[in-house]
Amino acid sequence: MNIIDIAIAKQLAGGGGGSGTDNYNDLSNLPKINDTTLSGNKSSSALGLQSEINSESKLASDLVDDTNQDNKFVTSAEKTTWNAKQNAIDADHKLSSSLVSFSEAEAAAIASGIDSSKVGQISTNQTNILLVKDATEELVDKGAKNIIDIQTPEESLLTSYTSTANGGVALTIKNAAWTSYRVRFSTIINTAYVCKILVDSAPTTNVNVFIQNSSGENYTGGDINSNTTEFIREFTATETALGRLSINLNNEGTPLTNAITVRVMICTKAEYDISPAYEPYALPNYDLTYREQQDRNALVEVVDKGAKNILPPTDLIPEGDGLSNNPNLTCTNNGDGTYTLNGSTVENGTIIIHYSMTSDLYGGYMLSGCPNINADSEKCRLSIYTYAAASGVCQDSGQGKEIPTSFDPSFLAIYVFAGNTFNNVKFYPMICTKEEFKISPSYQPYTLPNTDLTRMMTPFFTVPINHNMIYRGQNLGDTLTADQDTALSSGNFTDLYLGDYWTKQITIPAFYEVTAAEPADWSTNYTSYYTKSGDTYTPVTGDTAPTWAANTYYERLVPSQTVTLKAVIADFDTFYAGYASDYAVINTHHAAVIVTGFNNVVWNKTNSTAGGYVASLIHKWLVGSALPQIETWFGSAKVLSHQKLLTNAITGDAASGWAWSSQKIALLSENQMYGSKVWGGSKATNGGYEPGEAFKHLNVFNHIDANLLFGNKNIWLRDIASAVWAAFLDNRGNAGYSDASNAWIAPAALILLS
Amino acid sequence: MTQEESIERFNQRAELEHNLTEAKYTLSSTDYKILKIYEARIMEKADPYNAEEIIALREQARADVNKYEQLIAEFNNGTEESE
Repeated sequence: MNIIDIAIAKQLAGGGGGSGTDNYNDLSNLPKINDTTLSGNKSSSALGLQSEINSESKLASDLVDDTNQDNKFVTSAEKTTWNAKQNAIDADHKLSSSLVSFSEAEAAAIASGIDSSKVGQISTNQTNILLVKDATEELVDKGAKNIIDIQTPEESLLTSYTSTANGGVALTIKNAAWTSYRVRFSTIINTAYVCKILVDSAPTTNVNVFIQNSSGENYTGGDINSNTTEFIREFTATETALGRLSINLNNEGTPLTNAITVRVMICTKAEYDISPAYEPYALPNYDLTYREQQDRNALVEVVDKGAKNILPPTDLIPEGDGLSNNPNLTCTNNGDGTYTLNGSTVENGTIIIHYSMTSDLYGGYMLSGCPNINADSEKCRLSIYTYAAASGVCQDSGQGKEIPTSFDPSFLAIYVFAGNTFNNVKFYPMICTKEEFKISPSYQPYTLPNTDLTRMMTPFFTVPINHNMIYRGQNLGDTLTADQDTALSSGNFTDLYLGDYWTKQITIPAFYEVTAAEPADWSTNYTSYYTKSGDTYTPVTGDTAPTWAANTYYERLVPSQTVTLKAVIADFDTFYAGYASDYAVINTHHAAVIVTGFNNVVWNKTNSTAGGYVASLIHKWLVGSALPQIETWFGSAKVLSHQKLLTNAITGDAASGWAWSSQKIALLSENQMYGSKVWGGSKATNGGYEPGEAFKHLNVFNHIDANLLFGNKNIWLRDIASAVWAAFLDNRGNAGYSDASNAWIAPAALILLS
Repeated sequence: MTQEESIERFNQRAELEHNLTEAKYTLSSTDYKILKIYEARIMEKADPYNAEEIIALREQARADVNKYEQLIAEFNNGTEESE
């Protein structure tokens, strides 16, 4: 019942006390709308009402006001657009892939209209969902989606593999036996996964693929054949463990004949549903974080081990009004770049600790080293003061302070505040670059920068004769390289140092000497003698001894030996004089090289040094048997001849005669080995000739004990200790002498290589 | 003087000096024998060595010492003299 009906009903009921009527027009005090009496048939406009709503659309178009954000009404076009988007949502409330993304304007409008109370709620606006979808896809694809690194197999049984672009791998079979290419990946129990293999180069025969758990039991699998471009399998992990992907290239005995190239992705099904696109393997964030931390740790180590602190220590005794005004305060220079405060202060003051400040502190440096004790109250500072007071002071109160760009430092000081007590408070002054401080703020003592170290060390390597001061002991190989050849002949000795050595296995032929007279044992021992034809020696044969004849029969005095020789650089330019001269000095750059590693050889056939060193069997063997092999090793032209003064006579128990002769090889002398005479020596008035040209201590023995160089072996020397003894180095490093015919001592020869 | 000539000259002098050393050694190494002969004669005992041989050896050695000292002196002065 409407209002008018109620009003008429009241009137008809006689409300108000009069007699009733059934004619509305007889009523008095009729109702009004907009001050218009409701009588007769009046239109809505006569009553001042809005036009009727169009029945074809919910609202007439002139009701739309899109500029008014409070207007909740929509136009027909907006309704149509909305309905179209609504229809694209399927039963699972997922958006169709054909939906159009938000435009920038739409996104901005949405963003500006977001009701913060509704944040977190799922928007019913379809364009919001599209934005979230795109963002999620991007998030998934840029994360550690693919958990299998197909380029890093656990094992590659009889399969060759090569990494290809974009995380792929090319596989070929090595032989026709059972083959497999296996790669591990991590799984989480009860998680659904998808394995997607993109075949970039198809196989000629079927290839098995198995996706297995940690025990090798199959989750799923299948074949890739010549027509396969994409292989997709789903599985659910039954354990938290390492699963395994196994690709078998020899399916049922039919080996693959070509290369199969694949890209493999294993990801969770949830990720796959968001984005099925292949992404190459990527380390998960926690692995990246771990590696980044490792890299950072390594960087900190590099910075801290470098020339970080450029503030050198000083021996200056701290001074200043900070001490004079505070008689109970001491500041100790610890001598290592640090300082210690002890005592109490009654006045503020400055304690100067360093005057020699570098002036190269314009921008990019940090001052640090003040103890971090100023949090509650001002106690102290570490400060750099400038020459010009107007430039101010740079002060560190415990956190480090950047040194201003335009700063001309004068002195470094500790500033103390009055009313404080210091108990072994230590300062660690450090100036380093901002970048170094950012990587590692920890204190490091002063270290020379590499440029200064290089400048200091350069002369050792570039001035050739300084190579006599550097021991390296490096293996130089088994032959003289072109660079080594040039280094020697030029005299630069580039990359050659004391102790460096060449090493090679060499066969030294036997040494024979013609018998000067019929040997005492000829008749019974003739088969131990030899005849010679060319360079070939043949044992004497026959049932009885032939008649001995001069210049016919040879005695083998030293058997052949196959040994690994070591040629060690012992000295540089030992005999170089820079001019053509007499006697021992020569005008050719060279290295004096000790050749060692020979088997034992007697110094002389009999227990006698008669005839001196030059007549000894050992010298004849060096010249006749060993030298030709050494010349073959290094080249005859590289082994220099020079004059040596060798003993050629003895009188009594000492050398008494010498003569110069051109030699390429000889034993070392005591002077060369020890630096002085020990057992050798002449009693003659001209005994000073004894060491001959070999009077100089070889520089290598300034760095390494002779016994170590020779490997704890007994080594003959050329010095004569008596009529029957020759000098030698024993295997404990002692200077000794021995019977010349002793067979348990080895030679070591000195040659000059140019 | 070439290097070869210098070396040859040195070697020649070295040989003379060796011979001088040998001669002096002969004297020094037989001194004890003369002493023992002298002691024996004091004690009216038989000579332990052949005195005539020893003495002749030593006389030759002295002559050699004189000769080689002279040769060395002349050599040093650049005078050549054949033995």
